[in-house]
Amino acid sequence: MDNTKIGNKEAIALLVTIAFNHMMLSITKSIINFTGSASLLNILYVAIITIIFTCIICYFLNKFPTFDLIDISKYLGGNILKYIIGILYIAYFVFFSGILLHIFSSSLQIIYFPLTRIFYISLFFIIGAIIACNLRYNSIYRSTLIIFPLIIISTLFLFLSDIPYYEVEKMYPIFGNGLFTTFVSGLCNMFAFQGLAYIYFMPPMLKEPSQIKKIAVTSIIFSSIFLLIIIATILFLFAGFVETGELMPIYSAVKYIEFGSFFRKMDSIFVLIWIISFVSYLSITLKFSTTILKKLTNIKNSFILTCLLGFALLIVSILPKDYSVSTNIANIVYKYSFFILVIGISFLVLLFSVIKQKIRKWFK
Amino acid sequence: MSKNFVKIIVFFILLIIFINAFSESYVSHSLTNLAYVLALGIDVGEKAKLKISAQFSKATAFDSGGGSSDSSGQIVMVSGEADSIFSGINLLNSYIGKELNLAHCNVVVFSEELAKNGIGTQIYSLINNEEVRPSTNIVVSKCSAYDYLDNVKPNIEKLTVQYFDTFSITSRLTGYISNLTIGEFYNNLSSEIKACTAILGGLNATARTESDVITNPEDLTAGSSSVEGNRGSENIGLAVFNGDKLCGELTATEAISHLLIKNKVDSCIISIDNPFNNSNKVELQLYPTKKSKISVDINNNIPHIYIELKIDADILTLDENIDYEQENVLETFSNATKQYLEKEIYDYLNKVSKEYSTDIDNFGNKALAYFATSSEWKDFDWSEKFKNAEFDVNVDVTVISSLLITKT
Repeated sequence: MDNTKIGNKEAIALLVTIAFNHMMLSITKSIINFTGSASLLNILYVAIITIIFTCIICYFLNKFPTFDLIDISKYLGGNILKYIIGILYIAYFVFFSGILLHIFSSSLQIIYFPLTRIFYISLFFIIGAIIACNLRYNSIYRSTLIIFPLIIISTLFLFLSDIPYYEVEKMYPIFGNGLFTTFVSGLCNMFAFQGLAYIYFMPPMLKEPSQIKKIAVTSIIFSSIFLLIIIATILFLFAGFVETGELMPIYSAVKYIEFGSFFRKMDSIFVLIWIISFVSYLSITLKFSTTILKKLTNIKNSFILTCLLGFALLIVSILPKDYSVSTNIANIVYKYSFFILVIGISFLVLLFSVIKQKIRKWFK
Repeated sequence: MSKNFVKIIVFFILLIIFINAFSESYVSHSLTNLAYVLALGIDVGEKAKLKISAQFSKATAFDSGGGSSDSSGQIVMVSGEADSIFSGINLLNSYIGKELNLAHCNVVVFSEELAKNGIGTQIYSLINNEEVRPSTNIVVSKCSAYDYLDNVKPNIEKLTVQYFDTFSITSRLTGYISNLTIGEFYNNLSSEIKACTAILGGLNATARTESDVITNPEDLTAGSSSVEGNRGSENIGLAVFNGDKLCGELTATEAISHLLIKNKVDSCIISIDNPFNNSNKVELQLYPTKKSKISVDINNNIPHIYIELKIDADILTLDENIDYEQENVLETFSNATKQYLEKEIYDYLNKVSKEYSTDIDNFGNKALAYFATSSEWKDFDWSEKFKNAEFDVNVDVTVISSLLITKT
């Protein structure tokens, strides 16, 4: 039995867990603030575009079975391109995970640990992620598969429990802030599908690399459903969301759940599930960053690399002065970085590599 | 061996670091350091902007066997003045020697005087607090919030908390109040329509001392009823807000009209003129059988609002010499009830639209579908147009029976 590779289900769970953590912490707020009442329509539209884009990149990736983006970059532009792409992706993963860690730690500090410094909350997560990352037999991918049903159940439970408070009319005016915002500038909401960044590095990890398209498309569909459910919950529940805003809107939505006078304050259960899912996300990100760094440096001891990246992540997480800095970075800088690196540069690398491969075949 | 030893050392170092880092937060949440507020009262202060009152229950009140039978003796009230809610709470913290925790706060009471000045800051501040649950009820008291809370004594319940829990049941079974929460108030306040409501509270002794007792539900509000009992406070009617400022109140019958439109009542009792004997009244128990159907049409910038209600009713008060099995008798009662309800609902709608200019039934949400973009909706200015709204109310009433006796 091959314990070093991951199966289709584990891969899908991994990609959706990544997307879910972004939705939980920053993306939903940004989407609703940008597209207003047209958020649901926008997500449906963006999901279709993302699926088409995913099919294209999977087609390209299938031309290089068992190669990830680093190997493909080396094939296209030698070691120089390999180092550039590798460093850009490590910076992307570490920097933005650090920012999300800051947002999550800040939220936990406000909710549960008012007298604990954010540094210690972040450190707790980093240590958990480093330990999980270094466990054998790809434990993090397997544990993600176990957590995944909990994420699905809790999200559905949240959506269904808040139904008595919904005002479905909040989905109108149907085009929200206008046709241009919904369908043109609203395309930037593609950054909700953060799993795309990880798809580029998945083929060598898979038991069946040829299944990458099936995995990627399924994960995008799952992520879209999650996103629609979470956005619908927030949009239908909070009348003036655009005007007021919430620290963690999904947490505020959880506070509304009550069943008579017996089941109240269920937020603790949800926060526990989110903590586990966030540790999962951090360890996956650390694992991917370590794999890339390992390829760049040829260092065999991955524990040292994981610790180094974990330390970098911790530094990033304590850099933002306050919550507003980290949310601005997560909503604006993250969006542009995603488009430049994940949609732009990576796609071009794949495209030119396929062209190079075709040209070589012709000359042969 | 040495590798394991290093691991153990690292584990213990981390353990000490985390114990040190998290213990303070743990201690601050420890039960022994917290005083759980059951209800919070906010009045206009004499020396400062606000007077904050907090109601607690003594720990012994929760003992199943050892508690005193005199439940009122288990209630503790404290109050203090400050310029904001949380500086007031901090003042009370220092007095009590524990940290006031709002996680179990069931009701927030605002005095009428404060509500007229605007309670937006207080609502936002309370929602901003992690401890406050959105399901906390909101009451506007016609007396001071302190007096209201001081008179909230459990009547047939052992604990005050159990009394607060009856708000939702009372709301669904009588229609005299609505189970309004701070979360709902905040949501409406932060929406564009900005029409909010709160439970209207008062002291039942007020009317008796002023010889101003009202018995007719069409005029009845909190503080004017004839109720006498162990508990001095009562809730009847609704407080209506335009933005964050109190602009008026709804009587018991108007509250029923509001709740029928909002589908928030399971059954209620109304009193109409007996169609067979005008000198007498007849009471009917109403049961909405379908959710209200509301549609909005906009012609020449005037909203036309269509409301359809379907209600079944049972006759409670029987008169002599009437055969309640006869179809024409039941139909006569149905028509009389229909006329009564339509008139009451028209009066209610005209009051909130023309007099108070506030869309507390959220008809505006039904109009949203007429607009393609948010800017078109904003330009329409619903709040302004709602004043001129025209209503078309159709109540379909079917009087089913007269319960156990069918002929007198």
